[in-house]
Amino acid sequence: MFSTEIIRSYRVSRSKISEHPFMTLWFLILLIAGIWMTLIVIVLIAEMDEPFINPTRRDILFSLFFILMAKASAETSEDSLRNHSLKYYFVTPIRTVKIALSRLLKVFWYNLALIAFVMSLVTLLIHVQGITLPADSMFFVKLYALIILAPCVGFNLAVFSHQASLKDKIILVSVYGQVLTFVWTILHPSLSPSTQLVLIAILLLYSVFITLITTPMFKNAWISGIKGKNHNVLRFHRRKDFLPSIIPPGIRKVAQGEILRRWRNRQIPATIGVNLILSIGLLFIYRQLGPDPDIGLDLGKYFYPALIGITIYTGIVVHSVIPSLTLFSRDGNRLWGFRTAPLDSRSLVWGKASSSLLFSPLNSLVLVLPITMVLEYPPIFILFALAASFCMYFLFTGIGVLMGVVFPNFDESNRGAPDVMTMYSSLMFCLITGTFFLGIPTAVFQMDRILGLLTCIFFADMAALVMVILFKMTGKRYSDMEVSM
Amino acid sequence: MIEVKELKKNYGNYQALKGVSLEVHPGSVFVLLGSNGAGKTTLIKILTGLLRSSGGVALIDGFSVWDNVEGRERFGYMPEHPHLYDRLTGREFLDVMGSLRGVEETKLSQRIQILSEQLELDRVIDSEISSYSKGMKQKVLFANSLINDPPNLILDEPTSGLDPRFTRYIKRRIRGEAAEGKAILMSTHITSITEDIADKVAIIEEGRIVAHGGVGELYNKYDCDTIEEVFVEVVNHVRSNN
Repeated sequence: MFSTEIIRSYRVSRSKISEHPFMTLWFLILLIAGIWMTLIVIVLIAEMDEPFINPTRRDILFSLFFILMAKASAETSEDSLRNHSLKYYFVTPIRTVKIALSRLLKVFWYNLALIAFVMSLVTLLIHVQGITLPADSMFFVKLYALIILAPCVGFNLAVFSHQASLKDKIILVSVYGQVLTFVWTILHPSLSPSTQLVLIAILLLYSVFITLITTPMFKNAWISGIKGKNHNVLRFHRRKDFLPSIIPPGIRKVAQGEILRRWRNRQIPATIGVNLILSIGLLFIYRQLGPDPDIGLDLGKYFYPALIGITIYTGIVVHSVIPSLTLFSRDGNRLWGFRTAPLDSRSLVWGKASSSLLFSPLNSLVLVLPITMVLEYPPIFILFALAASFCMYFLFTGIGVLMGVVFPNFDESNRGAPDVMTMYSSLMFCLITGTFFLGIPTAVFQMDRILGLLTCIFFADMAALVMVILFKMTGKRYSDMEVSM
Repeated sequence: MIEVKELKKNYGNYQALKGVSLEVHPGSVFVLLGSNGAGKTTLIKILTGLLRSSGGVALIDGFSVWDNVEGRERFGYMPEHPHLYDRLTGREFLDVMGSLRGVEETKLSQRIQILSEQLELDRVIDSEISSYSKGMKQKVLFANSLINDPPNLILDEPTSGLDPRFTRYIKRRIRGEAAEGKAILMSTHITSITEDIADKVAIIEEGRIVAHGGVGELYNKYDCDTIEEVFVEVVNHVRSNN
């Protein structure tokens, strides 16, 4: 089973690289540039020697562990627990434990391959640029140990959170979730590195043991992940149109279908949840550091605006770019329905993209209002932040939709999720264009508030125009696309 | 009316269709019979605008569907595999598709209700499609092909996954729709269905139509008693000549 996955992944990657050689090259350039910039920032921060902006090694290790764990958990959900193809394994005499372990191994394989690739580039850049990182060898040993532990923890949490019964979900996730607390505790500097490594190894063994003894739950989680609901889920036939009739009928129907699907796949609640967490996180930082944090070099006044900008960027990426990338590839074999209907490509693109765009005002308010109001920023700043968020929404949705149709991933086994090249390149495009579109209004805002706001609104208009053009290009590309999956 | 003239489709160096021509007139049922990979589904996908042809013409009521969105109102399509939106209910799927095909809202509700009752979907129509059996999904696809009562029907293996009772119902329904004046093009592997409902049959092999005519004509021409015998005779003959 594991070999099959490796061969399949290899062939998918090979065909993608041969189909899009320039995209591959662009991805590599962006990746190397991204890693290089990260290394430079790390060195600069270390040289500044400001305790506040110098995160501890514990913070860094735990953050990396958490990100990898979350990534593995999401991959397990998408690639295993909601993957209909697993039925071909379940009907064979193979024991469930072997199926579960093969899926766990797959998560390991992908993550370790990615980390190995990134770390090779880091090593190369350190050597070529003569960079000295503020970390000793034990830091990297612990990092590797956590990299191995993270997929296992993520896998188990995904399995537990997909149990059919809410009671089982809560009990299992809250009991096993204590592993995260243990990791945080283990990384405390008062423990010696060797003790920390031994404890991480124990946690790894414990997690593998949990995987082994809970394999019946893997099958239950899979059944729960793929099955539908047998009850009247929304009584749609009694209140058909929940979007206003001002939206043209074709666009409205597509958008409604898309919103229903995303709502039932829990994408919309998850996105709003992530944005709420981001917002709460900002308020937490404010509570910890107060209104005027002392971070040296007279940077304190820029701290919260910068943090708000980063939060809005992250929130909009989660809400807009990632769903936009999958608008067509998630449909995969189902595209025949729209393609054989008398619906022009423009309406289809607008209808699908509307499922993200219609929620953007709500998301902007969730992201911008709480922190700006707590900080007692003037209304003009709040308006500027809202205009900036709309600018990013328009720009990023356009980029996401176009990249999604130019580099679609019609792979049913991972439900059309974008591959790492497309995802990374799109995020970098968004970052670069977002910096350009917001850089000028921000500079003007520094000099003159009113003029800055007006400039931001003008750039939001320009972003909307860019989005319209990108949607048009997407429609053209979609019209030329053959649907033969 | 469905017209195909000298239709070609290449995948790189491989020729999936090598100049296929056929006509399906209103009020008739035209059945495409062929081996696996013979080109039936490719032909249907070009007609329905899912694939672009490499040459020739594929028209539905005079429209080339690939570059004419208007032409898509002129046919109902039932694909071979039941790929549907799992998280929508059967009613929601039909509602979206019916609306996109321009069916007025009140009429659409009635149409969905009637079709779901006729196809015995009424008990599950408000459940998510992910909970349906393969046969139920086939019924949703069949209902979708009829949702706007189009003048042409293109059905790819319409009885796949259906029980004998519903296979019989679908056969009768197809004949009934033809009697009302629809032009119906369908592909199947099942020769007995062909005998039951076809006005005209074309056997497609290696991207070419190698035999065509009415059921009786084919019996006489190849001196056979069943379409199965005709099919085996024709396909064996083509393969022995290659």
